[in-house]
Amino acid sequence: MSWFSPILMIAVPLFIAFLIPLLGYIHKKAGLYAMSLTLLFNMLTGFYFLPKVMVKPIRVIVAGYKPPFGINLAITPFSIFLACLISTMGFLVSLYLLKDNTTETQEKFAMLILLVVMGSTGIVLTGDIFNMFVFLEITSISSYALTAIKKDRKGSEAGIKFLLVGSISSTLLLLGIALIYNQLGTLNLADIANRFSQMNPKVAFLAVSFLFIGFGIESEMFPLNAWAPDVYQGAPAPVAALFSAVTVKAGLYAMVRFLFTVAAKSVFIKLLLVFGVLTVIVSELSALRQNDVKRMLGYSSLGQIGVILFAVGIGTADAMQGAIFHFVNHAVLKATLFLSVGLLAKAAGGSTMEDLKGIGKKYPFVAGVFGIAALGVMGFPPLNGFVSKMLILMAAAKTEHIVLIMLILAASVIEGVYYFRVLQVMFKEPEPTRIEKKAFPVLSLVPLVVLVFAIIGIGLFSGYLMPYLKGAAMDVMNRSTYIAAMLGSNGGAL
Amino acid sequence: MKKPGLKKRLRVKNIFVFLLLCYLAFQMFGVFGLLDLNKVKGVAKYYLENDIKDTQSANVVTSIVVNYRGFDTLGEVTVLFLAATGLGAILSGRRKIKRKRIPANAMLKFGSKPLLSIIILFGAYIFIHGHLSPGGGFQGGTVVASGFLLMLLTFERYKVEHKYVKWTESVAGLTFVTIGLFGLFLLGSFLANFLPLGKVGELFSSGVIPIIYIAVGFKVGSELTGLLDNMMGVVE
Repeated sequence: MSWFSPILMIAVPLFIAFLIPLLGYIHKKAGLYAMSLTLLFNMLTGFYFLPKVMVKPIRVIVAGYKPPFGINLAITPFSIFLACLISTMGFLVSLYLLKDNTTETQEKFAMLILLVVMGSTGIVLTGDIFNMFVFLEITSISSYALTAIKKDRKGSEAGIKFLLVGSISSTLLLLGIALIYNQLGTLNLADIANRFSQMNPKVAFLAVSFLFIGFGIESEMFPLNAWAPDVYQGAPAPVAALFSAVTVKAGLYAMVRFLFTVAAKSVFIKLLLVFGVLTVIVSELSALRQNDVKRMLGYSSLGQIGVILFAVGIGTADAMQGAIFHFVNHAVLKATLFLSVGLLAKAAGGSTMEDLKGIGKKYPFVAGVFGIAALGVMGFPPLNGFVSKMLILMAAAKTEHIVLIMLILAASVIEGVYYFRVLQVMFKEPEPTRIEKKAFPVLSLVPLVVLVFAIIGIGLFSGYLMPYLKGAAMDVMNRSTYIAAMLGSNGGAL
Repeated sequence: MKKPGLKKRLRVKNIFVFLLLCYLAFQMFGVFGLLDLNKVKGVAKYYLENDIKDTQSANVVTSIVVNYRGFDTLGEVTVLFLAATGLGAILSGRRKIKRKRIPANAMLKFGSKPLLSIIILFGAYIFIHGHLSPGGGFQGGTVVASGFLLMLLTFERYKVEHKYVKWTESVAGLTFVTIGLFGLFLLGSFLANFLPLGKVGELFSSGVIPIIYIAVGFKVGSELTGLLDNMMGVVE
């Protein structure tokens, strides 16, 4: 089966995305179903390749030219692990969308969702820095459109903000890539990594700074994340779930891959630590003051990303393992929170604290799901958030970063304060009389049930996940293995 | 929802961003002298030396864009597709801006109809000969779209048939991906050149490159036309 290659995870969604406009002639909803099936295909393909890649990384050559002359996909444990995560989350959100009528332009909506997931998958799978930039463009342009798709005031404003900041990010990325290409004459990630020290140090420093800021915007690092809360608030809830579970993960992957594998500059990794800490402090404190639950979740999401960033910044294999585990947990938890709030807000007619008063008595199941996920974010044992926070804590203790230990605990307390406030509003207030009880469509509840099982299951049986996490962390830490696997025996002869 | 403290905070942020950008720009100018801009090296040198052998395309830019880095081009086509789709999704159902227009004069009206076919012919020439002469799918497609822009500007009630635009862009995109998948199934590598290469300089040469570039031409032309039509106002 030489034709069954991981590149199908990019080619098939692209094919379907081009086909969706024509599917509209068959049936009005055919596009949505095609999107869901394609994401299911992606998920299955990812899990088919996951055990194989853990043993030996795969290099997929595109157009028949050996790297560095052509483009190749570099499928290493870290990338396939994230590709599985991305397509699984994409598939679950797409199930939710099948019965969702957020917008009347459903086929375009389906196309955009499919391409956002495809672009993120491309970012994690590619082994070429310019190709990564192209996929980043695909992801961000579909995100701009998805943010503003509800056509209301908030969404449009967030979309414009996102567009402006995103354009700055892509300009800086392109400049950084151009500097590297000028110096080394290659765009292949492994080849750049292999010969990075040949660059003029001044040019190299500037190129890395450009890419650091560019990827920093994509991965929502403070102080480059001012646009993010608006986007989480303005975008429809399933789209916000997709952003925090999929696109941010791809941005973080790009950052980690570039800083650890390609540039290997310890100054910037330390910088990641500092900015991660700032991200946690600022976003958790801002989350405390929010009245709109979706916006609060946005800030909370940034806080979690801060945790991931500083865990990555610690720079040891243990911390990396914890960080990658937190990737998974953050994706699962935030998707659950956004999807459940999306359902509740639709029933209540708004997502502010006022609107959600007493909603927990009306819809105990969905609100209960929200509650479990909130406990997971705070890190209650035995839920999944606890395990990854514990891993990060232990890694911080081992490297004697006492401040980080205090920070992560303090952040959990703050999270407790604002999530319990929401839960109190939901469950303690009297039941609202103005809302008529309607049953939610079953297909929207299926992903929530799956996610709740994931939250509890990952927490209880985290041992099964550990070998994969370890493999992924090793992949990030050992850049020489990556280079050897991708360039082959010739060592990048140019 | 605006709080009084917000304005001040914004100002500090603005200054911070401004200083950061100034610093980066300063650094950028600082390293200009360190770049070597005259030497052809690395993969570029390989492309120049091996282009004819690998692809039999007279235009080395085309063989880089469509063959060596065809995967990127597929991505760029998707970016354009997304821009058109996204704009369509956001603008659909929204009231178009109404405005008065002075009718075009008789000369323009008589002139632009024959001109349209000539412009389309020119655009088609550019993208069909993409592997032989300067230009290609993106350029040719833009020329075709400019012909439709002329029509939209000349005739107030000119309407681009959305059905045709939709079909063209979908079929062109599907062609691109299908060719890529054929390469995967036949030669085991996505977008591999599975057709005979022929001889350099002939119209039917360099394998899949002209087919892909024609598909790109159709796609870019139809997408830009659709974009223009989406943004056109309504005449009172």
